[in-house]
Amino acid sequence: MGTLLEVLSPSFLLFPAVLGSVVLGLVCPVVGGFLVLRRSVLLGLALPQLAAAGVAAALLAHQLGLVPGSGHTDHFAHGSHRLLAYGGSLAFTFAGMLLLGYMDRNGAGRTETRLAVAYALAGSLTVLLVAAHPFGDVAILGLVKGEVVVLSMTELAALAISCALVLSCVLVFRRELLMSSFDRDLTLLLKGGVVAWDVLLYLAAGVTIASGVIVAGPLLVFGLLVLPPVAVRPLVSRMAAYFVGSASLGVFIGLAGFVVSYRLDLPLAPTDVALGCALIPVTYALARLWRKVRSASLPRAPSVRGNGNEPLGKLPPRS
Amino acid sequence: MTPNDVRGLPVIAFREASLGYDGETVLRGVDLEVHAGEFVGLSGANGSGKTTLLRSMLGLLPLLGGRAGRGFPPSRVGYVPQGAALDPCFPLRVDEVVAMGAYGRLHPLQRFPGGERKRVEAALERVGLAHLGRAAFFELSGGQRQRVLVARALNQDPALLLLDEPFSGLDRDSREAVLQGLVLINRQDRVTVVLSSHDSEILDRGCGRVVRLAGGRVHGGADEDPAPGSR
Repeated sequence: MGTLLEVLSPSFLLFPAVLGSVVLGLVCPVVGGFLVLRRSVLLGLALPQLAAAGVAAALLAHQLGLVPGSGHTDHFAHGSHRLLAYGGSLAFTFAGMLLLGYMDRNGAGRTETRLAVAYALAGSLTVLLVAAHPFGDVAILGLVKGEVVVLSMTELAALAISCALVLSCVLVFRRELLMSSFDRDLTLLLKGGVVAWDVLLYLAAGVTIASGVIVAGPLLVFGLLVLPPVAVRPLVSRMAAYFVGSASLGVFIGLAGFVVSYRLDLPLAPTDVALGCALIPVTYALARLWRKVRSASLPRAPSVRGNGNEPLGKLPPRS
Repeated sequence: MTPNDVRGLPVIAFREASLGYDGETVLRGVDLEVHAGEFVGLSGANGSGKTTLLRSMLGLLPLLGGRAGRGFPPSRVGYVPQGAALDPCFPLRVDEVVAMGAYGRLHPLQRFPGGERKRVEAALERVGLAHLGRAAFFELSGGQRQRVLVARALNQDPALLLLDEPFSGLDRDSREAVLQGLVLINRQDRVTVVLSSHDSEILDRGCGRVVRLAGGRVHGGADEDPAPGSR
């Protein structure tokens, strides 16, 4: 409890990092919730890795003098490098999304195969680019892996603005995003198309992932995209509860993971991901227990399990 | 008197149409008219092109040849997909599924109005499932799920109701219940109904007209082309 109060104090040295974890924990599960429902989880795996490759590529290009105003330096944590890394992260994320989207429409083969290849390629590319960098694994690894603990207030503000935009977008268009995910034919009939909603969702995912990877790394971003929605799913039976529950669990993982990591001096991302994974069997066990309790207390529930042939009766005329 | 005794204007018309996917023709030379207020069944074996024809009626598939016309905007078509086509991983309540029928009438910033909630309840009432509004959609039986999807389509205030294999996976009693519900909707609301099934017996009994699909052709689509074995 003492540690929790300590990390929540604005005077705490790593307070921006705590807030960064909470912001990511709030937004990533909302976006990831749609990816899970659309069975596009592999996209949530491939895109963060592409973003990390983008960071490595941007920093190598800078070191080689390929970026205007660049030059040799051995200090990688200051603002201009962060900005450069963010640019690389965004560029690779959206280039990857465009390429994958194009291949999805026109290419042969299965979507998951393409995503698996993209993940493998991005992972190996990241390692190779880091290895090619003169300061390689010593200096830039933090940016490629994402080190949320070095987050400054300025970077936190940038992350918060990106995430607020994404969250607003998802909230405003929640009905369209839900309908286009659940029943594409109905969306075509009622809204005239699905492409715009797909683009909107993947744009939101791209911005979240690119912003998240630069501060927290691909492992934590993927974990926060996927684990909270998967953990919450067995406990809920309506969409609002699914998203509110996922976001709440994401914030809990972000905060609790930070406390544990700080207390036990563990790396943050693996701690958060381990915590999220540990919650999944717990929620499934709780859901099973709840179903048993409910069925015991309601020996005959209203005909949810009926066979559907109850009489329709006389239908009232339409108003 | 059946609804088809007094037929209105054509709401769907195909003339020498070729229908299919990605340039591959599934049905050719389709001449078909569906009139306002009709109750039409599409009969045929699996793979005969029933879903292709339904999706072409919806305007979800581009014509590969010929001509087609529809006498209503797409938003007035209530579409009931096969229950198995929907992914059970979505945590949706019955009233949430029915509410989707209203999404075409709402703009993004609009809250779900009270009047729309009443329409959701009324639509569920009409299919006899008012008591299941808060139940989990994917925990319902196949027959109940079909009726929820019919309620969703009714919530669109449709001029035309298209149903893809609504009896699939249902036992005999459930089929009868769904069919009788659709007949009532057709007769009371004058909603044109087109449904597909590979069970020609139930179609012959319940539909005003049965169009048969076989060998890449449509039989019984127009008055001068009677369906083999039709009434």
